[in-house]
Parts: sequence; C-alpha cells; structure tokens
Amino acid sequence: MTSYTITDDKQIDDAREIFGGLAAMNDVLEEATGTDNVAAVAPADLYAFALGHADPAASKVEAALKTSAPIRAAFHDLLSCASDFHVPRAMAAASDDIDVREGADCRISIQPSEAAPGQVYVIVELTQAGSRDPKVMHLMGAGDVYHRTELPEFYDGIAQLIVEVTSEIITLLQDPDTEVFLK
Amino acid sequence: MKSCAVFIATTGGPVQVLQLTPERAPQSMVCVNRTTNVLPVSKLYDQFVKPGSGVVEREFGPFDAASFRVDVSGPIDTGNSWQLGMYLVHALHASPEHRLVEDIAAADEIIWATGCVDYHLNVTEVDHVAAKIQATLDLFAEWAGLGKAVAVITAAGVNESDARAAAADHGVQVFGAENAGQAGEILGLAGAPNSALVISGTEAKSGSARNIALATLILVLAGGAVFAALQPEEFAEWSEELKAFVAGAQVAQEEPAPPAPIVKPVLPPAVAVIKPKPTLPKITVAIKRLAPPAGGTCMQVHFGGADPVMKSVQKITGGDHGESGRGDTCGLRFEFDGTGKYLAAFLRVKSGRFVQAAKKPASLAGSLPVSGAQTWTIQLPQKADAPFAYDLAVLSSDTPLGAELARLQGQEDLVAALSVLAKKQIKLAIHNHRVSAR
Repeated sequence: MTSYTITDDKQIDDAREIFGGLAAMNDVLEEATGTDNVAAVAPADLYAFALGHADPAASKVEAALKTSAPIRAAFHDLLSCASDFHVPRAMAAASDDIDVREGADCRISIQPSEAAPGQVYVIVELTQAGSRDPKVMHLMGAGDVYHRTELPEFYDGIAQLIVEVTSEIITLLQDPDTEVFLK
Repeated sequence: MKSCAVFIATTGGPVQVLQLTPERAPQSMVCVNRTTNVLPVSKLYDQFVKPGSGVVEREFGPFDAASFRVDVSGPIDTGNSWQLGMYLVHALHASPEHRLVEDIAAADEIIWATGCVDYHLNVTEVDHVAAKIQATLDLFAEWAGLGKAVAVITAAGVNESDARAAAADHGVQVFGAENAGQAGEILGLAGAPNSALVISGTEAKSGSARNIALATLILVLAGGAVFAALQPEEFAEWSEELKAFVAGAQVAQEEPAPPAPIVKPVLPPAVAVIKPKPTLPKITVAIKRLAPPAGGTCMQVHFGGADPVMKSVQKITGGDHGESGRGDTCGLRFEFDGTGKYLAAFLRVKSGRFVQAAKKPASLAGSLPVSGAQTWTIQLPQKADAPFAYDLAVLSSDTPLGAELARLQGQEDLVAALSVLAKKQIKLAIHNHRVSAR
C-alpha cells in the first residue's frame, strides 16, 4: 500500500489545483480526439502555458493560439474550466474607452500615472476573501487576438502593474470584446 | 526654498531619488528612471508608506493620494537600508521650504543616506557602510569639485564611525542619527518629528555655518530651557538675538562667496545642565531542565506521552551553572527578562549538539520590542558521545539589537564585548552550562 503524508492545508490546495487542472485538460483532450489539435501542440505544453510556467514551448503555443482556431477554442475551453477568475465580454453602452472591467469576484481597472503621462496602472482586485491568488492574466480578444501577462504578487487582494498606455494589454482591456481569465 | 538631491547608498554605487509623485493607484511603487521597470523593493516600500505597517503616512499624512511612486536612477535590490533615504525624501516633500531636485547643479545640498527606520522612528544600523562609501568616492570628488555640500547620514554608532573612517578627507560631513527626527533636523526640516535633538558631525571642512549654528542651537536650547525658567525677561531678549544669529548663518550658507564671518552669539550666563547618568538595562536569566516525570522517560516527553517537570539548574556564581545529568535532562528551557525595550539571545555551543524542535522565538532576535518574560526551549538527544556545553548570551537595550546580535555571533571572545556594548547602553549577560554526555 502506498501512503502519503499531507502536512498542511497548502499541500492539499496544491494537490487539488493540480488534479483540477488535469481533469480540465482531460476534458479538452476528449473533445479534441480525432482533430489535429493534439498533434499541433502537446497538451502538457498547453497546460503549462495556461499556468504561466516558463515552458520552452511557450512561444510555439502562443503562435498556435494566434494562428489555429481549433487550438484557440481548446485553450478557451481549458481556461473556462480551470481559471480562477473570469471577466466576460463587456456590454459597452458607449464608444468611450473602458477603464474598468468587472467579473465574478474580481475587478480590473486602469488608472493613469501622474508621474509618467504615457504610463498607466493596471489594478487587479480580488473581492472574494481567501481565494487563491492567480499568477497569470490571459486576454482573449476578438478574432485571433491573444495576450498573456504575468501578474505581480497580490497584496491585500490587489496586484498592480504599470505599463505603457500604448501596450497591447491596455488595448485589449479597453476592448469590450476581450475576455479575461486569471489563472 | 532649499533644494536637496537625495542618494540612497548601495554597494553597487549610490542610487539617486529622481522624483516622488503622489498617485491614485492603491499601491506605492519604486520604478527605475521613469520607466515601467518596477523594483522588487516596491512591496516593502508600499508597507513603509502605509499607515499601520509603515511610518510615512503616519508621520506626514493623511494624504489625498492613495499611494506614491518613486523614480530612482538605478536598482535597489535587497534589504531595508533604503528606508532612511526614502523617509528623508518624504520629509522634504512635506516641507514647504524644501524641494527634492534631480539636477545636481541646482542642489543646495546633496544627501547620501543609508539606514533602516523602524516603527518607532529609530534609525537602525545596516551592513556594508564602508563599501557603500567606497562605491561613492568618485562622486564625492565630483561633487566637491562643484562646491556642493554633501551630508552623509547613517545610524549613530558603528555605522557612523565606519562612515567617518571611510569618508575621511573626502570633503563630506558625516552625521549619525539615532532617530528619524534627528536625521530630518540635519536638513533643517522642522516638519519632521522632533524627539531628542542630538546631532554629531565631523569637522566642518567647507565651513558650513549652518551646521555650526545648528550645533550651537542645540547647546543653547539645552541650557536655555533652564535659563528661561529662571529669568524669563532676559530669556526673551536673548531669544531674539539667537533668532537673528541663526537666520544670518542660514543666509551665509546659501551664498557661497564671500566666506561668511563666524559670528559669536551672545549667550546667556552658563547654566549647568545635569543629565541623569544613563544606566544599563538589567537582565534576568533562568535555565531550567525539562526532566521526565516520575516513572516516565524523555522519549515520552519528546513524543507527547508525558509532560516534563521543570527543574531549575543550580547557579554557582555569576553566569556559571552546575553540570546537569543527561539521563534526567530531556531538554532545556531558557527564561529571559530584561528592562530594555529589546531582547536578543543566542547559544554558542562548545561541545555536543541540541535539537531545535521549534524556531527560536522572533522576540529574541533583537529587532522587535518585547514586553514581559520570554522563553526558548530546546531538546537534547538522549545519547551523546560528548557533553552538551554551551554559552548563552543575552542582550538587552532600548534600541534594536539585530545588528549587534549578528556582530556578537561572529565574535570569538564574548567577554571582551561586555565593555564595548556597555558604552552603547547595551547589557550583555553570559551564562554557561553543561549537560553530561551520559
């Protein structure tokens, strides 16, 4: 008999996280059976990419997400199952730039910097107490637009980035068609 | 308006604070050269600013802005020695008569700072001060060539003496500050907290009249308080003369040529100020054995089957204790109390070994204020080839002890440190004890 010693809650959480991700990956693979998705990108690479790991295949996955609609769809499904937070497409009532995006238990806002006019803050707030802190932000825009960025450490439920106002992350966040996944 | 350029000392060379900007974003950040490159110390800086965890908003707030962004000229990788420089930058920002400048040519004074600022605003010591000075010598020469006044500010004590030795003959003034209020006073910041005003400077090579005035002011104020109480009318007259003197000295410092004549102030009659003689904090230490209960064993004590019985180890004389037997000593419990705000302790094992089932309490690291008795328990292996012999060193002081603890741990002769530490108002108690091999 094999026995395991679980010493703390974090180990239980980590184990739950890994098995949850693998289960989601299995679902995606089952759907992808018979298509060429699996051959184009290894499932393990896709999963590692979703987690934000520094995987040697990251550039291959990123390129595939921008060129292959089936892989993009599979990845979208994976994120839908396995991500911790989701900000859906926005219902834009005006043509103005959107500076706040709301999702279940999270909020992403854009704040201009007083110190450097060409820069803005991206503020990711988690409103659910005790939730797991995500490490990566995936932005899936309309068509084949995709961008991934690592999140800094959360502090008091907030992670704050500073970026150029012309950067892709800002363009995507301000586009109501962009879905955001935090994993 | 006095313009100051501020440099934070690092071993890789000084890093200039380029600008401090209030922001609406929730977290304060430190960025490099106005780029989006955020330094890893940002989280610590955010904590340093926020009320509750930090001191900046508590001392200079409340602020309309939610946070600050600091832009610096280069990387600051680790540690907390940036705190003194950042504190001074916020003090300048809060003062209507001072401003932070990036352009060295426009600076009236250049500040070079290294030190930690704790929650009680004590300026505490940091490592590598001499190396940080060494990494700045070329710039010191450049600034001297421009005729700039340079103030090197560190924690009073060893950092200050290290800085004096390393910066000697380089045309800078070295100041040791015991607290942030004193550090602010060096820049003439009236808005900074103003507890016990004591400033020690090196010889004023460039004839900085301001510092002479400031030192005189301190002496005069000390005597003047008593004088004012005794002769209020004469004090009022003298006070006006003093104000005129200090104002004159300030102008002389801001106009480089011609050299300002040193005006001797008309002082009140000498008044002897008797300062209470400082006394060393007291330390009490008790060493107790964790003995097995009647009919029990140390194995049962270690693995939760039985509660140990506490038995005091016999004290022979001074810090010497009688030998304890291994068979009925499952572990040792040290109980400490000190009259100082801070307490630190460490074991120097001379032979044998012990098992530290739990970490030494953080309250005994010397960096947190403590109240009441503190305890530390270690376990001993039941079989040993050599006796467990050790020295237990305990320090107590009203100032943080982290740096002294680290220094003492690297020092072979603990007894030799007794008098050195006593001069710094740090009490060191050394106890020794031995548990037999079998």
